[in-house]
Amino acid sequence: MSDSMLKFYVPDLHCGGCVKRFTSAMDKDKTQQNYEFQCDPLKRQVTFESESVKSIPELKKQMFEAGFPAYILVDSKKMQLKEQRDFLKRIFVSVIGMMQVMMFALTIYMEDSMPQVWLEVFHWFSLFVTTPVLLYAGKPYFISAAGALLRKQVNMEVPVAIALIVAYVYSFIGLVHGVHTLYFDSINMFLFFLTLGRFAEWKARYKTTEASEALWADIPQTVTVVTDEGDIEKELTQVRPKDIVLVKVGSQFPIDGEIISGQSLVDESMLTGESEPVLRQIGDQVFAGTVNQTQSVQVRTKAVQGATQLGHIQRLLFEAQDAKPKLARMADKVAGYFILRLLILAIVVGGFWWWYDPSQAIPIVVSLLIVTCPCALSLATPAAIAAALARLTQQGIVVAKGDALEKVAKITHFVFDKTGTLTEGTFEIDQVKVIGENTKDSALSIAAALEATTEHPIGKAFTHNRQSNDVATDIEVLPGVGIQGVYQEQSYLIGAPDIVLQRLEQDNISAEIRASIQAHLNSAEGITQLLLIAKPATPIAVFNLKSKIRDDVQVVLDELKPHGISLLSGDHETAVSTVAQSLGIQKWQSRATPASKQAYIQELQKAESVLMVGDGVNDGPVLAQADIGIAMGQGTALAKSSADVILIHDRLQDLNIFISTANGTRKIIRENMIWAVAYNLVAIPFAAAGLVPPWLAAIGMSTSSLLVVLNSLRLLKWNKTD
Amino acid sequence: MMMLWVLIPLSAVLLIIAGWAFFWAVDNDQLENLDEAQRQALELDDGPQEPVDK
Repeated sequence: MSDSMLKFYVPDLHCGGCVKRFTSAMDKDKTQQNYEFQCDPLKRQVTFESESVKSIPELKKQMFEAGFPAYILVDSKKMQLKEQRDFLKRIFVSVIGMMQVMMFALTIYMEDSMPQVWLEVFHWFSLFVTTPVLLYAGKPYFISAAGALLRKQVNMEVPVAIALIVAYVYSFIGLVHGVHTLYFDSINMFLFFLTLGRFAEWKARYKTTEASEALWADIPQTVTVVTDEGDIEKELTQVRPKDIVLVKVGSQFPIDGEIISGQSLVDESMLTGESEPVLRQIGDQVFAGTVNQTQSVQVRTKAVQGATQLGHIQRLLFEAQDAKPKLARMADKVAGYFILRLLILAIVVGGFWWWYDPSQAIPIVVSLLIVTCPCALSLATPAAIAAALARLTQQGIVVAKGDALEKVAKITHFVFDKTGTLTEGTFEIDQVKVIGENTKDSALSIAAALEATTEHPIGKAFTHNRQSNDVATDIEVLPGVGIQGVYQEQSYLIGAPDIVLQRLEQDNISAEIRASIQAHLNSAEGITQLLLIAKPATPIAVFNLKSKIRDDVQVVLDELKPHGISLLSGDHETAVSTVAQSLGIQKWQSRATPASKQAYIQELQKAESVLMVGDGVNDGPVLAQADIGIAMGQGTALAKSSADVILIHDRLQDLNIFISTANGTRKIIRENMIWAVAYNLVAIPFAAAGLVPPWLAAIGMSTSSLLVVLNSLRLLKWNKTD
Repeated sequence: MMMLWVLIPLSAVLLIIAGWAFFWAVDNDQLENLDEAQRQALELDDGPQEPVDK
């Protein structure tokens, strides 16, 4: 992909009709921008010429308003640099202008000892400096205000633009008529502080983007594709599913896929947090972003770019950034009303002073418009949320829905899944008890073929018993039961023993076989077991799987103790009760199916707010039902997850980090809000009474915004102990 | 005071030159990555030198 392109994933771009609607919505007359773009409904992508895009946030907003939420798919570094350059130039122009005009202002303020001619010269020179500063540094505010007014709306830039124009016109007319109280210094100062504040806000916002883009940073953009004609180099964007890609030692896997040749140690720490490299061999899945460490391997492509697990994580991050929490929406609404009332108040106050003392009217109106601009109020929540999301992302906690941070305070009950959540996400086969004339190896081969496609930790215990390409057909996952499929023309079912037995009961299996199964099951109470049968009713083997409780569980639960805690698991009673007792959890439910887990949470929700932690695959509907759903896990689990929050490092202690940061965010937002509201409440009467000169108004307004941004940035260093 | 007739236009000219220089620096990536030079200096450090026999 060329550097001059900016690519967005637009999920709602399905067909030619959508493209027509999108093109019409992004029409120059409607957006006031002459965008150049190409739509690809097959990939649901739109590619913009980056030169035609002035601001990514503005473009995303326009697409959103047109009914097409969009997420940046690739590195937008170039665009970001362009915006940064614009800011730096505007800050430079305004600071140099401010310094020059201030230098003259000092002299002008000592006008008693200054010859008249020099006063005139200094004033005219101030005008000479201020005019380009106003036109260059003030341009974005004028454009934004004009755009809003043309749409018959008022935004935050409207009072800013009015104040700048009124101060400039008043000073110019005053200069022509020989008035010596002019406001060129205030204009420059206001523009400098305003631009500086906006730059700080912009930087804070992009911190989050940087965190998500860092995920893509080192992925090679050119890959070697193995074809019948030999190896050819291709752009990553041209790689398609089923293409065979050669990944050399030391390279990051550029795609998600399956190893078809070779084996290597793979560093998956980027996605799983696991510091030890993992051996990946033929048939194993590998993911974009992980690092091939020891040998070149060939990988059959399954997903590229935005469709990879990494792409999904990035999309979730963008969705979280886009999702405005309730508090932010409320602040925007209040700011909108506030601006309208501020404009009316400025007219009333101006009218009064025009009647009482006309010489004071204009400066007071300018001060009032500047000092009360509700920038701080509008920044209070988004700045804090952006900083919190950046902090959490750095720690491997992806907040997919921004309002999850707000909801944490209301949570009164925590519900945990067992397998992969409270216990380690991996299982090992401890014992295989064969029933009848079957052999251990054949039982393992059948189970491995049935479990080949599952992402569930239990299924992965069989991975190394699978011969290459040995996958059952007609595989069907039966939620809460197990998996059934056809292997070597025989139909099999593997799953939770009790439920599989219930199915067997409908058939006439002998009491002897039933007793044998029961004996095997009873001999290993308290651990996870699977029963494999050949359908309709031939028991083959019982598998005993072992997994240990995570090291960090007790610490996490101790911190949550003031709240209700429940454990839900699909495992049998003894396995669940053993874990519950060892962790001191009073409420637990075994043999829970997704439906019964959902019902349990619904029941709790009648009186409480519930946070559920589970794995991303089986618990999807349950996580969606909870007030906050948190998924732990890896692989495609993340991509499919309907969770509000994802702990990508698969560490339960990250739950406490999330809760602590969410509480910190609420605290910072509250502080920001109190400051912003108090500042405006105090500043308005002072400004209306003529006690705040325009230069002080410029400092006051900018300082209030900067304080809000700086306070929010504290979250970037937030620790659990803060 | 007559010197001001020289100093004020001179300051305006210097202002324009400074503006041009800054815009040039920004457009030519001079301010893109201010940490890079420091990092490179550390990375290129060969470590303590072997003592030389005299």
